[in-house]
Amino acid sequence: MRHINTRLRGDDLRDMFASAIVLLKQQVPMINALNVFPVPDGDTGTNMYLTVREVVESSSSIEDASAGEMANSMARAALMGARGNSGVILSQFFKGISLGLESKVDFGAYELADAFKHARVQAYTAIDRPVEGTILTVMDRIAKVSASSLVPGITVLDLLDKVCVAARDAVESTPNMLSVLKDAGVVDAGAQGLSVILEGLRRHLGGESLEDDVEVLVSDALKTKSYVVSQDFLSETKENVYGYCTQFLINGTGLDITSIRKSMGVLANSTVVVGDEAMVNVHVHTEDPGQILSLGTDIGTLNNIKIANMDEQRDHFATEDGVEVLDKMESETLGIIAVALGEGITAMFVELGASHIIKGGNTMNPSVKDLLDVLEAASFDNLLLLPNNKNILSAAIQAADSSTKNVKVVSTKSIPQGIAAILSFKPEDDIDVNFEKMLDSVDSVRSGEVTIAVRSINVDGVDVEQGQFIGLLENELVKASDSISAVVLGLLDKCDVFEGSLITLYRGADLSEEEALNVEQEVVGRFAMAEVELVYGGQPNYHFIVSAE
Amino acid sequence: MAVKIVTDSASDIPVEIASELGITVVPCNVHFGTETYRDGVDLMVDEFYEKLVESPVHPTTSQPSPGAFVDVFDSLADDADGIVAIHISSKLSGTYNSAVQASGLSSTKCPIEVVDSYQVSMGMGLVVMAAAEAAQQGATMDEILTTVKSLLPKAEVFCLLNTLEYLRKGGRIGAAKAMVGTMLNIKPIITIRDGVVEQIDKVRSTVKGENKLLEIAKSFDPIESASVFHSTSPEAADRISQKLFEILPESKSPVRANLGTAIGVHSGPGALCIALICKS
Repeated sequence: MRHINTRLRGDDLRDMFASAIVLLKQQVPMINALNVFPVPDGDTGTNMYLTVREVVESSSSIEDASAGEMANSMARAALMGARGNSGVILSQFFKGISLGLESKVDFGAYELADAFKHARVQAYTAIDRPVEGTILTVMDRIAKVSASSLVPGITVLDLLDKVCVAARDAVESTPNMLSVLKDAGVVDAGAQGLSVILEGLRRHLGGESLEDDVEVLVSDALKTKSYVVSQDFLSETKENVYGYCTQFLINGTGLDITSIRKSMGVLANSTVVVGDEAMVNVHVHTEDPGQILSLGTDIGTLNNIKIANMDEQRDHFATEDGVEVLDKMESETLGIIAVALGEGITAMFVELGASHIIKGGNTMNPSVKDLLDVLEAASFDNLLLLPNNKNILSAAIQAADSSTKNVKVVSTKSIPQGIAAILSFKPEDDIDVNFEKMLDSVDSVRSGEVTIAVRSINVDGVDVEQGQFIGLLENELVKASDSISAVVLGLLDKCDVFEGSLITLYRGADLSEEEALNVEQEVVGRFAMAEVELVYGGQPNYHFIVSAE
Repeated sequence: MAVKIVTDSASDIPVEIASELGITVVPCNVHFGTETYRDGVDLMVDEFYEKLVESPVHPTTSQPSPGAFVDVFDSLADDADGIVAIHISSKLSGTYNSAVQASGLSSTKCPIEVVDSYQVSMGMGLVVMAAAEAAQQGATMDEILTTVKSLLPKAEVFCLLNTLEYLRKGGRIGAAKAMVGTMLNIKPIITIRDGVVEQIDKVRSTVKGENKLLEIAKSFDPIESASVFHSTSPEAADRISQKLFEILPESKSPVRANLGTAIGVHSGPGALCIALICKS
């Protein structure tokens, strides 16, 4: 509780927001689910989180800064990293703080109250047509309550106690101010997001847990209702056309924010323009992004252009649970491209970190051009390519050679080898380290496939009748039988299963779960010394892919 | 009179050892919905892990109140030269803050030092034990603090978890760091770095996980002391304990412990962990 009677410095300011993002992150799904205004696209929580995270991360290396310097650097980072409508408005919150703490070595409740006052002014002026019942209302209330709470001896924590109560009240009142919220049966997402951030600042100073206790974070209005936007609302607004969310930075000199805001406002909705003379962050909703972009290029150089189809997002929000997957949004510098077939197997690769999946396998070999197209279109400069099939390996190597990107091919010859390889992937390591680790992990995996013989034949000394199950170990026929269990066991017998081995059975699309469970039981019975895992691969043609490692 | 050593129940020091070494353990709280239990007092590990798996609500944890610490400090102060309180990483729990607050509130004149271990479970437990041994041998408060501060940076904890789900539910690990699928049964290996939880590896079988833990332990050789602890896997803990002793000849026999409820909420069942104090 060292903060209680002391004045706070730059590091404290940043650390307060670092705590706020811990709390905010847990609330992202809920805030996303509340998102109906201005467009019901379910990304407010994600946008606010990514914006504040950018602010904290980019100021994490600054040490011993004065409060003013830190606030200034955080405001700059917010301007650069602001995502979405709510993120841009939030960047004005940071700008307000930087104005309130300008040239201050440290700060107490008085300076913070002043900062909230500036934040309010900055936010309202950034928006072409301010709307109450949103994050703005929270900024308004906290500025007012801060000003009226100042008494001699008040600490920052005392002030934040009052601010958080006011913020929650403001959130509660949003449905009364903005009818679209009432219709949808929710409170405003951006307002709730800011309220959570403020609560995070307060808990940091109070030394309280940053655990997501919904009881405190959620207003009474919300507790009594479901968090989900009403289906009536979604179907009623189904015909609305929202157009494209268009966001970019303009770099230039002597930029006139007010005139940019005005001219953008004529062409678009939800216009938010913030920044300074050298850099401006523009966020608009428009049916014609081209028009907005060319207006931008008349003014300066455009950067970080993001255009999203909101009608599509809205449809997604209405049909899915409306929650953007955060893991996919994390910034990455290294991409993994895996060749795979089957819904289960594809899902495994994605979950383990693959950024792209190219459809392909034994019965479907992608061409060099297919592979190259994906490599070139990927948004990563460094790529690891997992062919996961012996017959695709050479095409993969050719594609990697022809690519303009830094591509390394991990010579995985089967799906189980690919899984073993991607399991050792660590996003924090660079491409070379990951490549070596993946190669190392591939060697210890033996794998085979079970399928049905299409004709009677004698191969590799094994008699096969048409319609029998056959087992192929690294493409060599080792077993044929009318019993699928016998084939799986025959395959595994040749795989050097020993104490502590891991056997994986990837069930194909053509085999029922019940049949697969029977096979699994037989495998467990025979190889008691190994761990056995049955998973759904969903691959066509192969009833099982089998591996031992 | 001597210096008294205080810690919280997230240290997971076995009760017998704590009482033998005169360590006062302040219980953290575990909440299942509206029910509150004191770790190791109202709720014991066996019962807890059953409840953890069966309960429809995910439990949460909270720090001991400053009042609980004030009571402990005041009752120890009468026959103590000083009190050293060592607590779970302030980045994972408010316990340290609670204790710091209490040290200011306590009316006693006895000096109280509160140390943030930046560690959890036996990672701090081993250091607390070393502090208590020094205290029993009559070390002064300054000497004990020097020992504690030199040992804490040498403490390491590694855990093989059955699932990351519990850490995720409790918000103790970021989604970016926690890359584990639901399609395959994948077991993460985590550590505590700079006071926070970090995933360092992931494996698909228990045997591979155990071997990885041993490999990691070996890389820290020579070791001063070690501990093997678990949530619900006594056999695996036996196995690892034995092997750890074999590969780390300079270490004392590993201290066996159970993950108590405070940490168990976040590790879940099936967790197998090692703590090490490195020689250098």
